[in-house]
Amino acid sequence: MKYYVSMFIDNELGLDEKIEFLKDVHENDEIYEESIELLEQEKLIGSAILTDVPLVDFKEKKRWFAVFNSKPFISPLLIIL
Amino acid sequence: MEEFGTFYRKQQNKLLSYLLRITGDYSLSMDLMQESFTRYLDKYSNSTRNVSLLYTIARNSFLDHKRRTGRLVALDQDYEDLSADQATSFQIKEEYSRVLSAMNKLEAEEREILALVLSGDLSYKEIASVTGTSETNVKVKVHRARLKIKKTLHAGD
Repeated sequence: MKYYVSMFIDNELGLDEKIEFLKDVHENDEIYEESIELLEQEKLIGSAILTDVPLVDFKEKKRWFAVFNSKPFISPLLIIL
Repeated sequence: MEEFGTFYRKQQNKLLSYLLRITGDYSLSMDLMQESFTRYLDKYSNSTRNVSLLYTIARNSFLDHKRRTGRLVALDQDYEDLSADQATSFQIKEEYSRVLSAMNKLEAEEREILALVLSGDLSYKEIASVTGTSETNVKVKVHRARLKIKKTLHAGD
């Protein structure tokens, strides 16, 4: 079984494989339909999960950590200091 | 060498998304992300920034957590059943809850490999290295995962 559609989506095809994939898509309606469907699906599953709101919403018990959330790079940087 | 702050800002959303895709738990993902960056900085602060290494650390943090808690955290959760309040506090885009629910139906390895692929920064070869499997296996699993998600999403229409 070939996995060219997924490899195409993930930019993993070599030139020869790209040629073979294009031929497959051209000659086989089923592969064409599946390729379009998976590409459309990829727009959804590969999209951003989170909204643009700040990633600061720790629960009460973790409130002491909130300062690290508001400036998320601070926590690791403190180790250096 | 890239400043750690730049590296952090560039990777934090992608890493958090990866963790969210495999845990389904926002707070846990935040904790694991912080832990991963801290571990990375602690051990590799003087090394060249390495995305693959960061994801390996994040994956190990998740596996450590699973071992500690002895369960699959929130993976059994049905995302479509989240209350409106929870969905808001998790800051997950509404349309993505269906995807997370579909991903939840995948086998653990498929879900993990697809989550790494969706992070967008790793090649199949690097993902194979992170997960300790073969490149061929990554190729197979990611394709199967996409087909299963298609089936699940279509079934829910």
